[in-house]
Amino acid sequence: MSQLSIQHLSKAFGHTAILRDINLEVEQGSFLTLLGPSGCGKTTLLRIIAGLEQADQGRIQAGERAFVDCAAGVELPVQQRRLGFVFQDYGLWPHMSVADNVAFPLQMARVRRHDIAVRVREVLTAVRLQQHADKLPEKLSGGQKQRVSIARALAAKPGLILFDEPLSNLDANLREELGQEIRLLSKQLGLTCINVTHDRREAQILSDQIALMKDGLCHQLGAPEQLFRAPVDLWAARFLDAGNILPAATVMGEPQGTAQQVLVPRGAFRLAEDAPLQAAVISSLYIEDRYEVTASLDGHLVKVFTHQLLQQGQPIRLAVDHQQVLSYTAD
Amino acid sequence: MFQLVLSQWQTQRSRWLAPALLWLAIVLLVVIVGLPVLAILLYALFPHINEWSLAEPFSALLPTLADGQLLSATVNSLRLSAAVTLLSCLLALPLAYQRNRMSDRSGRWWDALLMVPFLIPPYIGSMAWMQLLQVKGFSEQLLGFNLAPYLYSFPGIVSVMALHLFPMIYFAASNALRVVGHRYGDVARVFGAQPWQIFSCIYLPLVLPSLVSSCLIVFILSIEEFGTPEILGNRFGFHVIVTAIHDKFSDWPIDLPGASVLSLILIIIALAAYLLQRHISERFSANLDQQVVNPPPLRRSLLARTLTQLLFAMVAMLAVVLPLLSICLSALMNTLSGGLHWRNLSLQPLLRLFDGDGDAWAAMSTSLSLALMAACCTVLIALLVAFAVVRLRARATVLLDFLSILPNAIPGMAIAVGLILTWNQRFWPLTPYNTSLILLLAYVCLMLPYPIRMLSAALCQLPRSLDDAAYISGASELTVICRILAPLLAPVALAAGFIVFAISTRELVSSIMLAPPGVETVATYVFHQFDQGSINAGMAMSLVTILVSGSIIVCGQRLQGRVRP
Repeated sequence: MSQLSIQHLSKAFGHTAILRDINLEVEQGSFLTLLGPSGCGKTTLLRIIAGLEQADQGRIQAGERAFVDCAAGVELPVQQRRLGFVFQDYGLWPHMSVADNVAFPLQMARVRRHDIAVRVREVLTAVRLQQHADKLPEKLSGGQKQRVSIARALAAKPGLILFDEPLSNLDANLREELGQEIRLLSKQLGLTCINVTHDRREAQILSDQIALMKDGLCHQLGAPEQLFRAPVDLWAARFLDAGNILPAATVMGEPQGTAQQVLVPRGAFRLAEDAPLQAAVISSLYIEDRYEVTASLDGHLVKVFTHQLLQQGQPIRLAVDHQQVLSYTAD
Repeated sequence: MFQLVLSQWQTQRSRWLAPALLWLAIVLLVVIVGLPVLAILLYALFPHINEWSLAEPFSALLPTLADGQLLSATVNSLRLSAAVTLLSCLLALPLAYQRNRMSDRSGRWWDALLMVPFLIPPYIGSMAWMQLLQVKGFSEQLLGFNLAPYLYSFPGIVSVMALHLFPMIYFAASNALRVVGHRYGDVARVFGAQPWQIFSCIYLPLVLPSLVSSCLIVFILSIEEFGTPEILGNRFGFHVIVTAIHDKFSDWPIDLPGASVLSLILIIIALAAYLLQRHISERFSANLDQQVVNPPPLRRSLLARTLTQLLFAMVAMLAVVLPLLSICLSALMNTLSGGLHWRNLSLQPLLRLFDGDGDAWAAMSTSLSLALMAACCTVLIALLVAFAVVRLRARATVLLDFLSILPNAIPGMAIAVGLILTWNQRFWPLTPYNTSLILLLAYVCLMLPYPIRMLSAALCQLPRSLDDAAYISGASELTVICRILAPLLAPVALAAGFIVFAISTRELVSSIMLAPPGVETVATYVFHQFDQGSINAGMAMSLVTILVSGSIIVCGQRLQGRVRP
């Protein structure tokens, strides 16, 4: 049974539609990311699930409980949804110590004082911050602050945890590290999570499922590899940066039915002496453990991975693995 | 291990609390600020409105407007304010320019000294100048000449008021020059600008908005000033709108519709200047990054440096030293007739204030307790209004915003008239009029803008996620206000309370207009003692007020300066 079910959800500010008929199911224990460019409605959707904003139409059902049912006039107050929320800017109360921040949701739930102390120690240990319990948030680094925020979200054992771009305020190395940590924690504790981000890398690190959103609609839904291997259209391919988008004629030599554009993943290009496509190297950058080569193919820029060092302007020949190529009928 | 118990009661609570707080804020502001302004407007248009009749509309408006005295009072008000603004500018601009060419150490010292005029209430300043320059005043006793003919003239009033108000423009201009001057000018120089191009294309456009805006504030403060025109102007028959309103109430028969028409004119002028000022500061002020790089010290000749110091010393002498000296000397004189003589100076007049049975002690305790209550009330109301305006974002917050800035623009005299027109009516079953509560109401109304502005600004700086995190944790609005927002805003609230307290202790206009018979505040005490010729008692009280309110304002600003949200 799904933990969270969203049906026909719509929202408009004035005459501008923000969300149009969103339908999503989130399984118990799975991690869903709402990915999309700014203004696609992903943050509004998250805030509606949290109860911080109101929907115009639709239903949100969490297990047995109805969060929102616009037709029946049901709107469970945010206080009673029993959620965890991790904010982009941490949202830590600066006048309370780390332990007091984490204890707050438990106090609101009227948990006994002794149990609160036990639980606070437990979650702070889970995020490896047990030594920092008595510090004020301002004394912590960005990554530590976000871990406190996660501990606070976990404290009252909520059924669902919402993340609003949890990694975007952190620098690159820390982003990767904390992302892995969140992923691990959510699997260990069997948490159901929904995350919002515009960063595909963040989505790839964290998610079991990604819902790609565009203009208030759910554009494509699937596991990360599904999305990146088979974007539903050219817009998705471009937004996900799934590979090289080229005219079909350039790659295939002749028009292929109605297909006008093709997506060639970077890994689908291979350097080969006797290959049919001829290109010229524009730049070659050593990134991670290989060269990322930008080349000009018939006046189109293509990106290719190789282990060879190539000179600028050097002619190369490219072979294409046609199994991986996807065709689209233009925009 | 534990269970989340959520009752139906909690559901209800979280639903009605936010609208209830919003409505409470609206009702409070409408009663405190809205009613007096509305009363003025209605009275001016319908003179019989207090009998619930709309009869003879505009019957007060036309005769009052045709009144020659009103015309001359209006012209005088405008003339006076314009002249004060101009003279303040002339005083402030050279100083502001020189301040930025001076070493920072001596500059700070002069800045601190030029803050002092803010601490001397203008009516006390005027009395001090009278003691100094009048016939047989201190200058005549010490140096053998008096400047009474000059003091009791239009240029005299203008000078006294400008010496009190010019620091407003000085600080605005010197701050703008400091931010703009060295960096943006240097950038222009790098790209090849000539000095005159730097001045006309960089300095002038960047400094002008804050200069014009501070000039308009000085204009508003001059037009609503009561003490100086009343004290000095009365001696040569110079009337402005504010003093004319005062006369309407002190001369029998009391002319309420006439007073309301005058108040309306006053409100219109002040409101227009205020709106213009807001427009300019919002529309034209460029967002300068406040980061100031300390420039290398200018190399200036000894002569130039000495001249700069001399200029500051001269202005500080006139604006700070002479009035303070005059207040201190007057406060220490045993008898006026004894004149300025060592044997006639003692602490006796000061000590007499603290005589437990005296009028002075009663006035002081009235003022202090009213000011304390005003500080508490304004801060609590401001907390509520700031929360409603910044956080609830309902459509009604436009009204709240408008009502909360209204007292900024509306002169104290008009507020006092509005309160009289509102509460001196038979149809109220209960009215604060003729009790000390009306003074509290007036202080709260006049002071509300300060804490609202300070708390709203502080609340805007607190990210919304702090509230949202608490709501998601299960907290109600009340819990959010009490446990999250109030502790975070406490230092600012305290600072605002200090400032309200300090200004309330010396508030003159509404005290004179509204104090019930037999009740004296510090300001009315000083005013009446001066009228009766017991100048030493009045000045002793003034000295105590300046010291008390001054030190509290300094405390409040220190406190606010330390807050880093």
